[in-house]
Amino acid sequence: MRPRLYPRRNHNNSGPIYFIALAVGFLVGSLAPCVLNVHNPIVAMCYALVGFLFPPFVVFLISGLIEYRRDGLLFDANRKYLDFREDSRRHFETPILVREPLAIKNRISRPPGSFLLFLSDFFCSEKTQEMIAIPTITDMRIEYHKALSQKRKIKATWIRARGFWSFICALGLERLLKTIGSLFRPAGPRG
Amino acid sequence: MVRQKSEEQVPMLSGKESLVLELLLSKPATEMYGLELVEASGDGLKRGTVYVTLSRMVDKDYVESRLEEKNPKESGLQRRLYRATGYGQRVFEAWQIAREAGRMHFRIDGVI
Repeated sequence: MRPRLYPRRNHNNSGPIYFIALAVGFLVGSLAPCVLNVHNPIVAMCYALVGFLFPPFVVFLISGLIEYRRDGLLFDANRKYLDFREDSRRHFETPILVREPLAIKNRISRPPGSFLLFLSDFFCSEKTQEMIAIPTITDMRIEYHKALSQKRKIKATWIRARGFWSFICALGLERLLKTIGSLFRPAGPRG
Repeated sequence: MVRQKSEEQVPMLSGKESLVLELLLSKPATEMYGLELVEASGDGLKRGTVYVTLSRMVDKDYVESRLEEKNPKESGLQRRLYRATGYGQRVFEAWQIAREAGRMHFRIDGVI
């Protein structure tokens, strides 16, 4: 069946999965410095930041597998609207493509790597984007869609996560992450 | 300008660059994309670094690239295809000869 163009819900209420992820992240980030006996306030703040950001990132990665219902409407974990009810039309403003009935599994949504494309467009030069960022994302997308066409959702999610890491490596950001990670390593014996 | 600069300098090949050229020259008539090179190389090339290497090789004029022709009915991003240039082929052949000569030198040194 042909997909219809529907508007996107426009409010700041993030939904239960995001709320739970943020709560867990905040708890982990707050308790980790106590458990690991960290005294440096900067390191403790880094823990809290990582704890706060990591669970939503994981939810973002596996969002294709999570759906929840709210006010009779079906959303995925990225707050993408999946279902539609006629009397809720007034809540929506921005248009987004969604699938028709829930029985059809071929949902049309934003392809993976769109956010990375946006980031590379913003931060990278035109040449870097053309020669490094876009080919990396293209490979990820083609692999992702190939896995989805074989109905292997978990493999597709894995390809998506690996694509993110490839993109990070391609732009040399893994060194930055390793440097941040080195802050958390316990100091070795000196002398 | 780029060619003139590369002629003035001695062309250098890193391990990854030589592996890319080897893979591209193993099928001279066909063009390959990055993921194909990664899969063909086994563990030699990684997904995160293959396009950085290829971009550097394009700058050095060892390989040339073009966007894949797309069916107008299809949407989405196009793959970038890579092929070794004649200059790249000559550099690779010279690099192989130099490597063999280096091995011979080590063997002779070892015997003597």
